[in-house]
Amino acid sequence: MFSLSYLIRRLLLLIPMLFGVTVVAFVVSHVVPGDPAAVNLGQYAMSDPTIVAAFRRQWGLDKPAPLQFLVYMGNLLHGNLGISQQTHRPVAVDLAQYLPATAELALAAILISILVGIPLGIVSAVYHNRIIDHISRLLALMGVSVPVFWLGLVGLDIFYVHFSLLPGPGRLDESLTAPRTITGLYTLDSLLTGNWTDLRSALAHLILPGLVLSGFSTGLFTRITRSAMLEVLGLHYTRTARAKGLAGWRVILRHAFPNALVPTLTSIGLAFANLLTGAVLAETIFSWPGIGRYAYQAAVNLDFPAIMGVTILVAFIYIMVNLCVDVLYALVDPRIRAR
Amino acid sequence: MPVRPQRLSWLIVSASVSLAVALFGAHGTPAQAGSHVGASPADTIVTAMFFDGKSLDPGRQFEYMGMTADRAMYDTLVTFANGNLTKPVPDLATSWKVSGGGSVYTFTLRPGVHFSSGNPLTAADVVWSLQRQLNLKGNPSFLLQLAGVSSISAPSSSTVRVTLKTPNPALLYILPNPSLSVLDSKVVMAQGGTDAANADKTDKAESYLNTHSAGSGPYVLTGYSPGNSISMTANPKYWGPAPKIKKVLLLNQKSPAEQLTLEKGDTDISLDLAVDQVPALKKQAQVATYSLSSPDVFFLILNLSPSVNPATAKQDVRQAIRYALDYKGILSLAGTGATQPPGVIPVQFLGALPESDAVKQDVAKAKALLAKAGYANGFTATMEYPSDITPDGIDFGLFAQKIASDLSAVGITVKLTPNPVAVSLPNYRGGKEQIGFWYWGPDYPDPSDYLNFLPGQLVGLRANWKMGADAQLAQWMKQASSTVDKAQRIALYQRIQRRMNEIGPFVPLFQPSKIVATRRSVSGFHYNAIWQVDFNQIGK
Repeated sequence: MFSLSYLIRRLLLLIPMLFGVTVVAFVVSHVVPGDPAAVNLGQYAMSDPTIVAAFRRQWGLDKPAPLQFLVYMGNLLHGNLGISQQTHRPVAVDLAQYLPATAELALAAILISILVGIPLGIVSAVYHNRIIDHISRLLALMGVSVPVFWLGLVGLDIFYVHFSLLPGPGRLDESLTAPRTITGLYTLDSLLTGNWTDLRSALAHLILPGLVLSGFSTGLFTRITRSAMLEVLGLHYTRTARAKGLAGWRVILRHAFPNALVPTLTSIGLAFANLLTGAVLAETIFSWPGIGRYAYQAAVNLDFPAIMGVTILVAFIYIMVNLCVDVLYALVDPRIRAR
Repeated sequence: MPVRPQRLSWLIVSASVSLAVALFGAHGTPAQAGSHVGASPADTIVTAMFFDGKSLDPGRQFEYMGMTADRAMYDTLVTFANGNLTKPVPDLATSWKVSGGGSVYTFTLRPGVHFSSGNPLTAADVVWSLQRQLNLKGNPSFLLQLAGVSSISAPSSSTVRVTLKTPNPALLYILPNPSLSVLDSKVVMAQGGTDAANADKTDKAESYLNTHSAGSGPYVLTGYSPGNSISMTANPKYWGPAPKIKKVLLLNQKSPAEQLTLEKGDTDISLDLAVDQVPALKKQAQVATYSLSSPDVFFLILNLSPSVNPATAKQDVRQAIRYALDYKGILSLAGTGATQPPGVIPVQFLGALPESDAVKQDVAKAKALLAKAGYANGFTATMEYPSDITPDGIDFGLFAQKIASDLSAVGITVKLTPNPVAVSLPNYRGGKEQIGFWYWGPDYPDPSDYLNFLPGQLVGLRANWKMGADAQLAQWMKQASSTVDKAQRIALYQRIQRRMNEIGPFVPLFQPSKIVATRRSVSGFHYNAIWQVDFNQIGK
């Protein structure tokens, strides 16, 4: 089942799915009450019919909705996502600038969550109902409940303002120029161009927002890993492995954990997709120019091209992440491969 | 049960610790402010503000971001100095003559001015730039129409003549707006710019102007990353004294981050702080805080049409509402720096009413007026306001609740109806609201902007205050739009506002505070309500 043809079929499904998403996004954004002209033009400009007409013409809003959709689809097929009303630049350029910024942050957060959450979940399951289990469950609960906005501000106040241990908002120190754009991820780009000053600054700027954003997913992974492990630790093959005389942690990590991986992988995939599609609050607090902030501004300003562009991108990300998770299932669990 | 913790966990822990030490080490130990990595460099003014704008093209921008940046890169015919908006002073024009009874303005240009490209600035550039702004039909294009401009011409290479349809003293207060900046017409035309009548369809220069400046101002643009930062450096060809600080960096930050970066010394100026941050800021020895009043006026608009609400259509009811409100309480909600405007004209503009005119709460009087109007048992009304914008940091919902509670004390039941601005704004503009809670930001710092509140005018119509509703106001309005004498204008506008307070549909509530702060090391800072900072005067 997990053959190349299966993969190709899954990838081809992208087209009708993205088309469906585009239609829904278009209909919903145009049906929602509100006039982009009213939101984007000043009080005086709105009362001047010439200015309003010029605005509508400039943004294609003077055509009937079905025609607007056809024009949009026509442009989309040529790779043209339109011009954003907020930045007055092509939406594709905006996405190319903002997505890597969010990707970098998402990668940092997911890495922290995996490195902290999964071991914590394993330990919690192994020392079930002991002190360490209670502590880790409390930490997990805090992770999913503490508001990102508050945590970010407190973090900045302590580590940036008072103890000068970490840098402040932004992706890079003000005095530095960004590395040459290859991927858009400052860490990767500075590594690839040998710009060590930029690399250090970019990494340092990632720590606090990464930690703050990872709170939720760390808590999530801890709980899911813990419950998956608990289930597996009670199963017959675990007992068999122990009966064979294998060392304790070898049983846990080599025999039990891989079988608990499948539900954990699902949650990692979902959490990563969620992080990748932008965390508005974290991006606002840390002045991180990412997709979340862009999408929020687009929604508030009724910037249709940007709304559509972001929606299609988010749909694409979720579909691809799900596909990757499915592929990883097959790699991790031979039974799925064989099916 | 298995043995102790484990190599894997120790490996992870020690790896994290080493990484942390390496990075913290790179970042630096706690040091004195100014000497840490990330501190604002000595040769740069770092300013934090919220990027509300979309464009740096002077002819198209009309938000704070564009105003602040463009003022540094471009010049206008006349300007305001040191934040004083009551007195226009020379900029590109060294002098001007008013003739034709106040409808012809002839400006003499300063000699020897060059653009950053080296091209000389002539009257033709002035005319071209103003025509382009008008013909782009963008957000700021109404300014010259408001002034009543009928033609702009260049009688010589160093004179510009602006002819108005009728005499209008507001012209000199409109021209300082950065959207009326003078652009290097040769350079902009080469990049697809045009001042033709169909410029709204044919002008292609915006993307160039978002990456390069084409002005004669003290700075030139070196970079613009939308939503992120704007960087500028000193213009070597500037006609005036060279700026004290060679570089300017504008960073997009929201108020919580602005406070932290200012305290730390990573920014020098913060322009979008909230009033509840003032106590914490005042504790910082290195920070100077300014609690100013914004010229924005928040008000209630009561519908005059009986079919919308028969109660608010009655003058006594409107007066009752005016007396029922607890203005002291509203002001304390708004915080330090906020003020109560006695009329619709903000307190810092010419023609504002004196403080003694401000209405004071009188619950007994309010109840008596309601009874007189036949509403002794009160009435019900809906109050609509925008739910998703916070101009000047004001949360409409908070104040709406206060107002509703004040009104319920006199028997008026208010149903709060918050709606996103995309929904509530059309209702407001369409005159459909029973009670509306909105604000007006001045388009230019002259009382004539507030004639919009009169019967038959832009805002008056939103309360269904139709043309001809009051002969007295109509007469005063006609006089006010053409009187040039300052003392006469003040008297007229005060009379207008007093009459409006008596019979009109508006209840001015408050002008919010505008909190800005700088590091104490910053000198030469005078807040300007239109473009916020004159960077070329800042030193540190």
